[in-house]
Amino acid sequence: MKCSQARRLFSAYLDQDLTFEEESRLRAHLESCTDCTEEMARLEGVQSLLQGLPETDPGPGFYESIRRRVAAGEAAEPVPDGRSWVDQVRELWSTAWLRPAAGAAFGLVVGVLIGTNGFLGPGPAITGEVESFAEAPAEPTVDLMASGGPLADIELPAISDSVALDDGDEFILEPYATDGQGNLAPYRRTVNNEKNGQARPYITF
Amino acid sequence: MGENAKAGSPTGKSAEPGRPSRVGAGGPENTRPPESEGVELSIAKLPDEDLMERIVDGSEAAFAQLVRRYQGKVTNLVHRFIYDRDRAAEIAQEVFLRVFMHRKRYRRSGKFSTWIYTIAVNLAKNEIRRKSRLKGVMSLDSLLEATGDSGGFLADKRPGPVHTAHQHQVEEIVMAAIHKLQPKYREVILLRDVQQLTYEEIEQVLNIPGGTVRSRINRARNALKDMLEPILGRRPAR
Repeated sequence: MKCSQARRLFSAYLDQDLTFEEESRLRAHLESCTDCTEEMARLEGVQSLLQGLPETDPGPGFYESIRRRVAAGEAAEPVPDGRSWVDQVRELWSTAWLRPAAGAAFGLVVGVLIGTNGFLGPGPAITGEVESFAEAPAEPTVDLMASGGPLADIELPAISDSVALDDGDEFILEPYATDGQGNLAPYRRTVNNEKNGQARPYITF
Repeated sequence: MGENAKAGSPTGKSAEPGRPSRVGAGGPENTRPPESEGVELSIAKLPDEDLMERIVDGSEAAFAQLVRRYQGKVTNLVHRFIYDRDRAAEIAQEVFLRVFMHRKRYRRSGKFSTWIYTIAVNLAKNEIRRKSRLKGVMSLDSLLEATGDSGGFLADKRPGPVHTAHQHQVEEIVMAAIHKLQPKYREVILLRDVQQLTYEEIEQVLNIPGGTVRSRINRARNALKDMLEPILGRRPAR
């Protein structure tokens, strides 16, 4: 086994992720190669430094603070500046969720706005990966699609948390629209992009 | 909404005597869930997934237990990811808030730990995107320079103030190095070597293929090895 081949196996060796044969060949190489043995020791050192980091203490009153926020119906992530539309909708919705009357009014208003009988409520978070970029409309929009076709196109205010994305980047988005059965409706969202000079990539989820 | 009944009153009424309290049902004046000691002991032994079922049914004791079980791990993960202890505690609170708010979406088919780590990682990533730069963070180079010629301090395991100071110094250096990694490498190495998740769990948390997990861990470790060379070189030979 060459050194370059051996070193490609080091990380998997540390995680005990090698086959029996791979491990045997690597061990044989290490017995005869001082450089690789030292390199392996340094990688083990990295792992032991990371594993040696003490667990962060969340501080006193952690649970009580959560409890107060639950009781207050708070759900929006504390954002020091510039909340996204998702955060704003979530905050509105979470407040309504703990106040039935407000919730009903909120649902009615939104129902009228989108012009469907669809139920509007928090949908499951989606984690995705950027699949493609394309030209996007001038204004950010979200198309809500039900299984039979589009529910509605909602024009949104400018998205405040523009993020730099590239092919293969992962992201998360928490949609707040589901169909009448509570299922998440497929949708698309556009975001601004500051990377590679692409002004408004069209991101497909 | 049926959830309102389960979630308890938002007005801060006390839970009914003799019954497990509901999350959100107590006022801030209550300092701990009012369950009996026996109930708490039995809850402490329940797996995460059973606790989630009880939380859906409105048990505050179950939610408190889940928070106790994961508060250190979640705060630690976010802290190591964003390199800001105070903000990490706030984000960790948000993670548990979301667990509670979205409790009905959790499915037993998946491990609870991967679900909560997914939420934590995504909130941490959002935080990084929002922050254009860190304040009050020393560069890795300056931290390494500050260790000066105190060679061998990693090998010094004798307890005492000097050892403690060295531990803090090492922690800062390691944190600075982690923070120099791109987020996609930072998240895999934190989940693997700090949180001790398996490859399969990391795949689920990050929703990326196993091969990508392995290659990113490999790259992250090698990048950290290069950055930490000055202190790794002082380690005694094994």
